[in-house]
Amino acid sequence: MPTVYTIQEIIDQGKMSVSFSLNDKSKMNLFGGAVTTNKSPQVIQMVTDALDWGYTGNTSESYRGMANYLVWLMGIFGLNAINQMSGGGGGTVIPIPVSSSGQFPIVIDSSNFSTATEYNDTRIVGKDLTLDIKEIPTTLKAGGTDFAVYIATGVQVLIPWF
Amino acid sequence: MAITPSFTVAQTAISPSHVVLADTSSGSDGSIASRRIYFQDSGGNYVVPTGTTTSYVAWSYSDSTIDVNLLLRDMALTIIVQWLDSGNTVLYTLSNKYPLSEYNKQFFVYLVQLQGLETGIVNDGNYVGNMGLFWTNIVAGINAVNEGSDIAGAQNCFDRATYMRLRQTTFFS
Repeated sequence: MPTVYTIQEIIDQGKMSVSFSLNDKSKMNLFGGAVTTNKSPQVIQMVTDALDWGYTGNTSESYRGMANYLVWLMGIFGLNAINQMSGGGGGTVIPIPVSSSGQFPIVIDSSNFSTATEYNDTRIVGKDLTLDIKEIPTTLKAGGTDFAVYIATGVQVLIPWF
Repeated sequence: MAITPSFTVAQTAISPSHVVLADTSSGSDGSIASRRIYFQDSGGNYVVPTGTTTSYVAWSYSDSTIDVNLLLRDMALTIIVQWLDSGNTVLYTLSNKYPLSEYNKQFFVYLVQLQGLETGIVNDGNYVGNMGLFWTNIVAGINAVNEGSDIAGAQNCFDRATYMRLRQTTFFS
């Protein structure tokens, strides 16, 4: 008698199987990605999340067809998942919220500068900043001495031609 | 009396290198004098903060929490906490596996925020494909640990995401 898994069990198998699929795909070389396009790890993850969000909100057997679709997508990785999960799960890491959250993005132009090089803004004082400059095709970290330095009221740009 | 050992693991978004453990054990045992924490990676190696000469991190029994500046990148770790007596005999041990993924998670948040500056970038197939792959590797790594305690598989996923994170101009511009 074949085992009929519940929809919740299939969702859990979906969550577990994506890492197997990703790791297997990363070992493939020529043609590896192409032949499994319709069963890519991203598609397994997408269907898993969709089924999870749907089934969590409405625990109905009407999702059985979608669950069967996920079983087909997982294929051998689903069997790997069933075996791996028999040993139990690990722990969950608790994210620690930041007490003073940053505000992003702050879009400024030359008109926002108080002097030729100084931009003053209480929202950025004491914060770690990442500057994304349109004219420069890279992201520079403020705080060093190559581009900008912190001042008491904001930042001061050090590049003369800026 | 004996304790029922228990601990929680947390990570800050603003400083992903820091891992915070809290002792949530119940009961009491007057013979406990100290604690030790072992952070073991998927290769069986012990991960310790820079400058630590032991394979473990000492955790004073008078402190209910400890903040360990441990990580240089996302890692899936087995975390082992030992409760010891004054002669360093292990009285209690508890271990579990954890996906510590805030480096890549926060970079993903940063990338999505950047999309707000350049909304048309979502029409770039390479960008969207790489974002999907990056996101999938993070989620799959976390799920590999939470669902199946697979820190080796999770580490492979995290390493691929880290590779992409460190090459922003190649994958996400």
